[in-house]
Amino acid sequence: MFVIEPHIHMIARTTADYERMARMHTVACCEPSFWAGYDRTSPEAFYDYFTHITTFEPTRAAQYNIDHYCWICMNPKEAEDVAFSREVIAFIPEFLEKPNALGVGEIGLNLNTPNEMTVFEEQVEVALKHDVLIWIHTPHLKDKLKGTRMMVDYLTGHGGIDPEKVCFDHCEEHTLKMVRDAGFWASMTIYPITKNSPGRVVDAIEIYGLEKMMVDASGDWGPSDPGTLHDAIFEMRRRGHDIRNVETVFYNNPCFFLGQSDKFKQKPTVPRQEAWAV
Amino acid sequence: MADQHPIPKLRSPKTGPELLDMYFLYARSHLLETASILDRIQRAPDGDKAFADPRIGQLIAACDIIKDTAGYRGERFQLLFSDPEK
Repeated sequence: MFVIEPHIHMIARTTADYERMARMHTVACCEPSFWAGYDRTSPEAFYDYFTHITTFEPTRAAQYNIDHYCWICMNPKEAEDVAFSREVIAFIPEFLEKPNALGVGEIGLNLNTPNEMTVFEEQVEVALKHDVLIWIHTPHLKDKLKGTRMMVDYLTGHGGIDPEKVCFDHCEEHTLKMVRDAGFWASMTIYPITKNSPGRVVDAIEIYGLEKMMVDASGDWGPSDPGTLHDAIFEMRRRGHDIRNVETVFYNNPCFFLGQSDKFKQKPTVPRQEAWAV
Repeated sequence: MADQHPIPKLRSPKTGPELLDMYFLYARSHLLETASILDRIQRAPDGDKAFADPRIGQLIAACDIIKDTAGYRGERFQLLFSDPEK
């Protein structure tokens, strides 16, 4: 069974992680734009970052037979300065043209401020204008419920959003229902201490089913591990779930969502309705 | 809370007793860690002051969620630790 990692920040990982992922049958990974651990001091720093994830990372990944894709955006943690953000947003379209760029992301909220919301809304419009997918970051811990609600309400009231082309990431027990009821894709991040454990993501799959559900490890420079995605695969297997259902969550579903971009090369092993039939 | 949710869509291949066998020691260890952390805080200098912190109250309230049998404990736990939506 092949595996797709829908969300990981490989810029923060060693080449040894690419090798580990390849040994664990990961064939593709997706890198959303994010915070660097410090606030950048100029828009040019973002330009360089976008250049890195559209050139160097795909080359590095290719050495391990992994296809590297990315998402371009002003991340929510640096979006409080609207004027600065607009300077970055101005050159996002240039990078959306790159062969590994799937869409706009991970846009979203951090502290749920009005300025963050403005930058979120303006980047949604960039995605719509260029007809690309959207990958959404939902806030951490106590801010997650309110922030997720704010974005779900905005997008459902927008009138021009196709929920099929939008994925809310970092979903947990208290946000999955609202995201799914609105018709969006949901991804769950395995991250020690602050997000999901392998056991809890499999619990959510049992409760909500296979449709429009993904799992990611979101490895970055914090305490995290690309191998936790495969821990979740093992967790689902040891509970006795059919291997076809495991493949749906960890390979076919990413193909169904990400494959809406012509740039995404991996193909599902079965049609969507067959994969989701339980 | 539970009545707002669908019946689980992907049936567990394992029975409840089988899952208890799989996870009993795991759950025991996590509860023991929490008990020990509370003891560690309490016996430290100004431990009583720390116990007046609302976060301790949240942890105790979370224990109450674990104890009751209404289900969807994970979701109710998350809501307890969330800012209000409005």
